[in-house]
Amino acid sequence: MAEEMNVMVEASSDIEAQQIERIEAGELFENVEDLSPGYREALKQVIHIAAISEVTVLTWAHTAYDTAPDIGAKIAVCATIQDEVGHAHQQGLLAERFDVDIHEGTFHDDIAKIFTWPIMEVPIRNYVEFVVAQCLLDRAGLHWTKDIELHSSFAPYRRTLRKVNFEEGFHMRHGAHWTEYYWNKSEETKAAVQEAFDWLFPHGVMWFGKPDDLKSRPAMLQYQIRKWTNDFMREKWLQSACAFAAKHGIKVPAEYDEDQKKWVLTMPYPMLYDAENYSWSQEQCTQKEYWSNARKGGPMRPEAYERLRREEWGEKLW
Amino acid sequence: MVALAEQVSHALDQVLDPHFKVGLNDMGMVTDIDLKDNGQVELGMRCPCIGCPAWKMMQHNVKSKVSEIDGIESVKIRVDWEKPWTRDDMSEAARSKAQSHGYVI
Repeated sequence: MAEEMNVMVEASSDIEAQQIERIEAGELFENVEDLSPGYREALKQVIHIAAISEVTVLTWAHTAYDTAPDIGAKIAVCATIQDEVGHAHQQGLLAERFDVDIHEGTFHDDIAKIFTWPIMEVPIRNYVEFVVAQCLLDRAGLHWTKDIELHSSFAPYRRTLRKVNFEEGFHMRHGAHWTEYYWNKSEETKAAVQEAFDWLFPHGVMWFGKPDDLKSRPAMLQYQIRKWTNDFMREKWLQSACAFAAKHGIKVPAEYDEDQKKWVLTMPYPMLYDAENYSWSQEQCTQKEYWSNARKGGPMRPEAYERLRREEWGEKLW
Repeated sequence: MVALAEQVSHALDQVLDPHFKVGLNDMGMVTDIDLKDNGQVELGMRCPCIGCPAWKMMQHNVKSKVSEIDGIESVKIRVDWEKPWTRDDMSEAARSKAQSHGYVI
């Protein structure tokens, strides 16, 4: 998704230049009418994609339900799904201010057009994977959305993300708590946590999209829809995730560099993942090869999206 | 015994509602601290939200934290269904924290 969010909008006209000048002066905008055409188009694309991506979390999270070990864990899975519906709803309402028919886009557009985070099309095999995903990937998502809450020049987007971040922060803490619990519960669950880290940690690295030097005309940054670059967010996430892992002794493909005083990756970056076999190639590939592989989707495509359409709560239900 | 009860209460201050990041006492979630002579403590607790996804996590944290106190041998949690939680049970500090997250309580 982050790759998709590198939206391409020309910002060469005087109107766009003036808008950017006002943004750089620290102005916040409340109304869609206050935005230049380029800014409006960039924001429209970002919010539209974000809203639909939130929906794709629903079927993925539900794959954890059957292996959730008790009623409390099952409630946690359901609550996550409910929260993500809320996030999609909040961002969908915002998208409607840009004349986007979010319902049409979510439930009726060509499934082939949907591109979400690659991990969302790989079913969760057990509850440990679910909590580790919360610990690592909600941590990644939180960096992404926190940036918007803190820095977006479109004030309604800041406010929308405030509620989203409140819940994403809880998801991350919930995942961290139960990751620690399973890490210490037994040798069997400890091995399951390590296996989940081996699979999900590289997905966290890739969560933030292409490196900054491969991006061009980043409208998101020009219009300060967000402020942090992909590499900056990846770096913040890496330090946070590695600190958590080191505290508990969980192995990650990174090491602490005493000279730089920070964690640095030791894994090939990027590398190809095998969505069917839950494995990584451990050999460096190009960004182009990575994204080409990601676009093939995972085992849940297209069934997950067909299911959303079958279970759509639309006019027919009532 | 009083000192021990204070220690238990202090421990409960350290356990946070993971949504609001406010201690359970300030959240009004602790209804009763019943210390027995044998080092057993029974805690009455209530949850603001039926079906709270953090309920098990909070109970786990309470047991861990209170068990660390010297003199406490075991911790039992009783769900206090007869004292349903209301917004009035939150302290001013908790209310203020909730407001900082955009929740008007």
